[in-house]
Amino acid sequence: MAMKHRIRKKNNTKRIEIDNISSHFDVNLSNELEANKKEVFRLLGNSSDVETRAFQLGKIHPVNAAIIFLEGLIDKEIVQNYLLNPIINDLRGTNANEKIPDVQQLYQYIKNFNITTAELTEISNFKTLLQHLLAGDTILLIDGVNKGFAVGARGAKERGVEEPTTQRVVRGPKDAFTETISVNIALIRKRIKDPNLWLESFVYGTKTQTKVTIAYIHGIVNPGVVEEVKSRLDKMDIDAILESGYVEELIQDETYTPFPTMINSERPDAISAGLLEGKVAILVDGTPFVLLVPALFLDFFQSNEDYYQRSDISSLIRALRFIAFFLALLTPSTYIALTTFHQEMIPTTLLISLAAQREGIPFPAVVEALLMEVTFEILREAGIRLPSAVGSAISIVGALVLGQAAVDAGIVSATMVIVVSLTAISSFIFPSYNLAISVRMLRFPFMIMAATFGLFGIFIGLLILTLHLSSLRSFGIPYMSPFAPFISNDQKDAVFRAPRWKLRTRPRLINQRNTIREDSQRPMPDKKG
Amino acid sequence: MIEKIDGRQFTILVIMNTLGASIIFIPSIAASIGKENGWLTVIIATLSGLLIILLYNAIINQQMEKSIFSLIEETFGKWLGFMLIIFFNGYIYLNAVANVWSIGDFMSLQILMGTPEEAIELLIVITALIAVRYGMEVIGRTAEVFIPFTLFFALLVTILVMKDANIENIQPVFQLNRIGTFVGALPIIGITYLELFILLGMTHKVNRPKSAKRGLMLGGFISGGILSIITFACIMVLGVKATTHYTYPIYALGQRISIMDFFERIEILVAFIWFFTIFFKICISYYVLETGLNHLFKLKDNKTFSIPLALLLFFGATIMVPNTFNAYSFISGPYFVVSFVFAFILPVCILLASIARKKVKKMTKNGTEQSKNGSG
Repeated sequence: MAMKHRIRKKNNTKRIEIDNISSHFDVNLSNELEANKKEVFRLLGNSSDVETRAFQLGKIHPVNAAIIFLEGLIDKEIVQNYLLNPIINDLRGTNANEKIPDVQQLYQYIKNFNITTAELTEISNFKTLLQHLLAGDTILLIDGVNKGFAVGARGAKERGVEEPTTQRVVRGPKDAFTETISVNIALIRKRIKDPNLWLESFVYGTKTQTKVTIAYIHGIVNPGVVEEVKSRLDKMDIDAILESGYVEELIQDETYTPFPTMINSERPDAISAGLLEGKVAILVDGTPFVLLVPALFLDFFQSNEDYYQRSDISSLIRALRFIAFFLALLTPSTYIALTTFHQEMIPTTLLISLAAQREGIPFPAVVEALLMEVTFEILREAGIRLPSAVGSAISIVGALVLGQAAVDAGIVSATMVIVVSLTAISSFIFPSYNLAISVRMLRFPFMIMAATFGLFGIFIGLLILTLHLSSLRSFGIPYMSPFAPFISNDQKDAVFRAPRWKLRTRPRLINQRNTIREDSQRPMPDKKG
Repeated sequence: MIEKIDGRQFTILVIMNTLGASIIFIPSIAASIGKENGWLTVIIATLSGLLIILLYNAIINQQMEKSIFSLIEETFGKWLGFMLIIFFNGYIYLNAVANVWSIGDFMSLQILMGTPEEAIELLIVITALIAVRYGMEVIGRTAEVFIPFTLFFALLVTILVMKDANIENIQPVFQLNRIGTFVGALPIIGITYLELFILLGMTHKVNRPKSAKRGLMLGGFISGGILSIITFACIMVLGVKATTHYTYPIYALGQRISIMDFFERIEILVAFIWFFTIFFKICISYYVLETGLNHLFKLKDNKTFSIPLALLLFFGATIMVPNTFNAYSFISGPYFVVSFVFAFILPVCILLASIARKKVKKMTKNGTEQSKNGSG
């Protein structure tokens, strides 16, 4: 039976490995070139992108050889100049068999003197051959040798380093990660030139064979967190990893929470800053979004630009983000609670104008609010998916038709439109998109609580929310620190950002060993001069 | 994982536990007995409360990182210990139910007029259930998040009403009604410091016994200060008569707030100071009650009793108190006796018995050693 069954304990599903690969996985290469080539073609189902080029080594008693590669994944220039050119030219004028009588010696000769690429792996079975071939290496096979070479001359089309499309900044580096993991690692290495920046790579995904690399700064990172990350990664058993989101969902602490417990960023400077704080980065091949753990609630309020601007500006903007968090979360529910239950809290003049506006509105405040919020969410989602050519249409529909016309038609009140707009704008202020999503989701339960219990309902909601947040952990670190548990030393970089010369220590809970960051003094220029 | 809270969190829970419920009744009780010296009454209550805390700290010394329930059982033996734990749990249950009821009553009377009391009580009990299932660590951290807001609002209310303060309201200072000034401290101690006895049921969760003792003392001192200031503000602004007249004088205080004639009627802030403190008080009682029951029935899973207890709390709150008047006459009178028996006489007994038992143990140990030496 060629089929290999693996019965998994939990859900008893069977995973069937496909016939042609599994039976030949560990079969060694044979001595005959043609047989090997045929087998490779057969294993790949004669796919049209598999290409081969046969040639001969030596002139008088030639030895047959061939290279096999996947079209589009190799750099043809390199293959021509550093693989084919030296081999063919060096041996062309000679009698290969006279110069090197034994094929095995020829093989060694080629390895040592001909091939001039940096990456070269010897392969002896079909399993490794396929792995290298599919990764974009060029395979060199020689007749009469039951081994071959995998030459690293990868050159798949890649996107260059461009500006980040998310997490934009006014001041700060403008490069972003790309889809290629080696480029991403280089972008971090370029910033942290420290021998203690250590990387460990693994391959996950039975079908995609995706490279996952963890990076950390040895001596700053908490070794327990690194071990935890590795053990969680090891537990993954998945067929494909197409984006770091796959990894995130499989290794995060808590699934059933609206809050993200891992940071993702496409900014190398943000990831480097995290590494320097003692965090662990998880890079996944094929996506510009790099994960960073452990993540605290606070991290989602911090933008890297906070550290590039002067501390007073950054502090102000950061405080603004906290205000916006509550605005985005609570504005509609507070409006509902005030107009439905606590009219006495609204000043009389305002109350009169509110009442006048709501006079012709057929819905209670909560229905009105839900209606507008849902409409807005639809508009926003549509705006993201729309082709850019029709992008302006959505703003016309959104702003004019649904906003102005709805008010004129007496379906919603003008105040409600203001409330929804304020909520919407506030939710765009967060540097991290995933916190904005949590706020979007949580707004609705809060609106329902407000409609049933007024402000009391909102406070109960806040209480449950805080309880939930306090119960979360990210890789062992309490999510709400440094607020709960309160760490006075870390308040310097929490709601406000202290001047740089005061940021002497790294966050205490994340790295427990090497906490001293710097020892700069307050700049005191000599004023007399 | 063993859950542990640190000294700071314990201090905050002590503050929450002392302020919970009492912050809204105390000005009224203090003014009705202590009259214009009501704020002095609260200060006297605070000072004597600190003495009571010394008693509790002595028990923490005896506990040696065990829970109070194990201490009771060790000291009084299996059967008497069992009975005492049941009594203690009964006291905690009474306390928790009273607190749940008082939020429900207050909310349905003052803030959500149309909403039935039971709905509010159920919502609170469910929230407390969530909190207790998350565990003491999470409750401690949540309290840590809310304490700055609570203290800030308390301070804000006090400052904002000071424009209406009239010094004549507290004059003459300590000239008349001197006995009343002292007597009034008794019911205040009953609903504040004596209730701290419940917290002894969770001191073994504090990472160091030393920080538990410090937390109890510091928390008691801070909350006593807050209560004194608020009573002072109530009597200064509202006068003795009005303070006595209102059931919730601090709420009436909040109604007077007016900032630039725009922010008015923000007494709801006051309601929420009180709500947060009382919520944590309920959580603590609930948690200790659960710990006590687990100890009685030797259960390992900490969460077995949480849902049945939630139901008991809810139904207790709906049926135990017939009406508001009844409740207040109970709080300002007989309740002190209940507290005194369970939270003063019981701890004194525990302390004395525990010390005596240790002495006896030591003596017998020495005795056997001596007899051994003698025989040898």
